[in-house]
Amino acid sequence: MANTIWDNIFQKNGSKQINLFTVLRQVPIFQEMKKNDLKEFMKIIHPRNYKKDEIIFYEGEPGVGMYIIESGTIGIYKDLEGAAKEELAVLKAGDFIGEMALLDDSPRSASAVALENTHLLGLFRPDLFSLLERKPRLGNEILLKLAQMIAERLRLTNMELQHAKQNHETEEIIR
Amino acid sequence: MTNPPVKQKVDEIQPLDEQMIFVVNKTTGKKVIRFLLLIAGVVLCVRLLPFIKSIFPALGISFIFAFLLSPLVDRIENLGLSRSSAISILYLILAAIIVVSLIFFIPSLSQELSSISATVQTQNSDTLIIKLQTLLTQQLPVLKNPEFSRLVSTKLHDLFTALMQKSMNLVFSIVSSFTMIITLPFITFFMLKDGQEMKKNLIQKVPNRYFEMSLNLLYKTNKQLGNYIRGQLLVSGIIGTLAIIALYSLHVPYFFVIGIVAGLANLIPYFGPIVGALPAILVVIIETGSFGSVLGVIIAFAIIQLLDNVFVSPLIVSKSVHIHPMTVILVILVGGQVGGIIGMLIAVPIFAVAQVVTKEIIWSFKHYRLLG
Repeated sequence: MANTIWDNIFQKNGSKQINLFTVLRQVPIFQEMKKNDLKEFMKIIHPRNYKKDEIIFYEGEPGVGMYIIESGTIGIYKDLEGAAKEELAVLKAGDFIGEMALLDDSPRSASAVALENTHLLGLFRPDLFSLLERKPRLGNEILLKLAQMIAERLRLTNMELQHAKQNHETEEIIR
Repeated sequence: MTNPPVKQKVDEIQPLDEQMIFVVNKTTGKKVIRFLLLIAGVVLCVRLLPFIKSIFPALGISFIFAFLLSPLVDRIENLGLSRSSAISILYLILAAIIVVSLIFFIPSLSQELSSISATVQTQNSDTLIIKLQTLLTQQLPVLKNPEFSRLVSTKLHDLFTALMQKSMNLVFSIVSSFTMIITLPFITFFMLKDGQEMKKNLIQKVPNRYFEMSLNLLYKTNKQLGNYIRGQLLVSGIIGTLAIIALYSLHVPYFFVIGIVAGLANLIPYFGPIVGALPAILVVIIETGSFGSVLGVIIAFAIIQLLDNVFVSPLIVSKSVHIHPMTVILVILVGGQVGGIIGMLIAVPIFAVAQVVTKEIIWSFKHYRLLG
């Protein structure tokens, strides 16, 4: 009984920190980061829990930052005419959403909805900029990793675009 | 004939019901305990309020200090130090500045204050007013009208008495809050060190739908207010320094105290410069009785204001906070009614804070689909 009380008062936060540390270690871009740097980075991470069907953000809202999916599934939707929606992607644990909002304050390009009970780790622009001012080396390291991640996505999009273009040209030739 | 199956059904259901009742009881029990704890907490806070209310000013002042000092701590942390080391270094620098000020400026400041005090003691407020009145009637014949002269005298007497009373109250409150001055650096230290964590814990309690909006609101207001308040204080410091230099060059007595007052008064937009120049003009009239010297002081303050409006303020003060002159008058009047001289001094910055927060809340409600 005494242990439970002490756990509640002192250890709950500590165990949360350890858990967050383990989760971030599993994310590819944070795997090579030094232990102390990761601990410093953890200070600006906001853990959030979402229930099934809960909206994470709506398309058109001002973007503040990105989310890393710790567990659960997220659906990305584009608003169409009226109440219709087009599903763009379904993202799983380890994926990212809203990373563009880390770089500029343009509105969200799509809506994000939790498809099941989901745990997210939020990283927001003002915190990242503050980290860049306080710890430029660490801030730059994180920025570089984010840039690599965005470049990877851009490469994939380019490949998809090229594929689509080739398919379109083939279809044109057949016609 | 129908009894046995029903009984059998009841037998099957009962354990599930008991289980559900147990779960419901457990949840309700938890809720009841939470509710009782909340009530106990509120009652305890209300009962303890008279004893703990003296902590609030210390917390408020520490919050302002932490708010103002955090960019400096960030800069020092930027050099590769831990946050605690950065705060410690800043404390050492501030301590050095305070010690140097005590050595160089406080003797002249205390000399000026004791000189003012001696003047007030030897010539009480009535004699000062008579002296002022005589000088004014000599220079301005319109004041020779006995009725007008009596009216001016009464008003001046009331003003001096109120000022004396206010300054005495201020001195008493400063002495009685000596313990607060000792605790301030400690509270400020922890606010500077764990401010980010505190902010994070606070924002974590916000429901998901309002989370991003609150985060945005918090950061934007923080940035705008930080720029505004730091800018205002920096401008006040510059104006105060310029006033001290100008008054010293003009050989105005008590130049140091009057310069500080002019700097502080500059916190009040539009009227601050006039309020800041008044003590200097009064002192020059009382001490020298020469309107030529008064003209010198007026020109000096006019030049300082020109420099402020053309160079200092446009470069430093944030443009995001603009208050209409008419609003400034009303805000100062309300501030004066609520908190006297101090109220007048802090009314405009408080209004600016409220204005920025309201503006950002309205912006957020327009841009986020909160009811969706």
